Amino acid sequence: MEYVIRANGLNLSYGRDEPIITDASMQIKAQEFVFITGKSGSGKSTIIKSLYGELFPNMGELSVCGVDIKNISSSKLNILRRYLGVVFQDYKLIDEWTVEQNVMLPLIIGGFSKSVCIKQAHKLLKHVKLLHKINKYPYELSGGEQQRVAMARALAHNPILILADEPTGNLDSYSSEVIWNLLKGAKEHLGTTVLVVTHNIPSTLGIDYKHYFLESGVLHEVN
Amino acid sequence: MKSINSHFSIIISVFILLFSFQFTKMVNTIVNDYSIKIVNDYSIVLVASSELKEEELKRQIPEIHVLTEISSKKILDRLKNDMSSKNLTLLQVALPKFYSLKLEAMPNQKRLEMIRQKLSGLSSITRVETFAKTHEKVFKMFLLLQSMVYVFASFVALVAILLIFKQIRIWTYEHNRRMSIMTLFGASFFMKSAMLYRMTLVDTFLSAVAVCAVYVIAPQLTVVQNFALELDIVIPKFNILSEGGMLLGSSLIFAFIAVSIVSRKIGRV
Repeated sequence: MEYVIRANGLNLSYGRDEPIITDASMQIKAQEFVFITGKSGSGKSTIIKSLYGELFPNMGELSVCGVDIKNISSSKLNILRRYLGVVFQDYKLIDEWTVEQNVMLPLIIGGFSKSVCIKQAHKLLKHVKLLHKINKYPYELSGGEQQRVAMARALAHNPILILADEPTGNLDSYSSEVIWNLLKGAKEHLGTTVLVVTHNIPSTLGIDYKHYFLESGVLHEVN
Repeated sequence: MKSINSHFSIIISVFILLFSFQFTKMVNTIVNDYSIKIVNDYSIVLVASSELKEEELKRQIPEIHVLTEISSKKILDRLKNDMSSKNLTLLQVALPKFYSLKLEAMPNQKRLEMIRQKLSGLSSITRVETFAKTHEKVFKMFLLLQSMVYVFASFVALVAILLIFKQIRIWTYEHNRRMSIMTLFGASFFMKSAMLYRMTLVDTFLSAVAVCAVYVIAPQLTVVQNFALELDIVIPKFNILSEGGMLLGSSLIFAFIAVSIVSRKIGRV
């Protein structure tokens, strides 16, 4: 599998509305670090949604981890999602579960034993400096802490591809730094492909990356 | 508190559903037993000028169970003191023969009339008494009671089923956010619906156990026993293994299907 993400002439829209993304094409190889930037409402989150199969293309081709998203069955989509780590803009933490349980979610779905789940959750919560809040519930955490839990959850099962939608939006500098370091670490140490949708690329990232700019529904490769 | 209430709405609904189902079954058994009892107590009285043969009658009326001669000895004994032995002998010769005719099953009015006509058509039979009105009144009353129980139980069951579905829908909506997040991480249908299945199946199990307990305990209560005695009916014994197992099994299957239908319909992400 040369390309982790391959899109060609992609059109995306919600229902019968006008397309939000038109004729988008991108090729992302394994272990690449990719940014998609653009103004608010340009369709950045729409691209992320199509990559984890929440929104299906109207036209064009889209494959993720070698799987054709356009014609994917629901059972295959479930399997594909187990290899992805998604960080959502609104965190999407389960309120009635503790921080530890939330981080363990992809591992439980992956069928790992309880001891492995706990060990991995503790390791990642230590990385995001939240080990002391392991038994807290999401509503007891600040926005930055919730985002760090969401990041730990996305990394828990060592995914092939991490999709992060505005992972540092509205976060303080400390939380932002923790998150960028984790994403960098995932690419450098685990060989994970990382795709981040953001307004601003951090100036102190210190790694090579690919950059796409989204303007009026059209995707341009910047470098 | 809200959570406990929601559990009660499933427990009570399933309890009502199973209770009405078992009650219908019980009434059915009681009515069937009673109809057998009526048949046993019921007989057609025949007056014949000569001796009747059961086999011959059975050839014409297959419903005949047994033909028994009613002895005239009692009548003659009563007249012994008032009549001379000579007259008594003459009377014994002249007296017609009385028979009691029992049937295999309780016929309806139309069939009973046909039987009466067939019997009256026989040359040796001079009189047929079917007591049709008495038998029919009691039997029809029981059939009416049975039908009323069926209708009532059907309505109760329908309302209970609607309540069960409504509560599962509420639970599915309550858990929809968690289920949709789990879907985004690739959880299978059964994995994300596991909590709904667990809650519904546990509540259903508790209801089934409660219904079994009611049907085991109730027939042993003095009030119920006295009531049955007054009505001259026998309340059938509840078999925990076969009937309890059937109630438990069918209710768990029903709960499983109900959760599958509702969560598949609502929980699509």
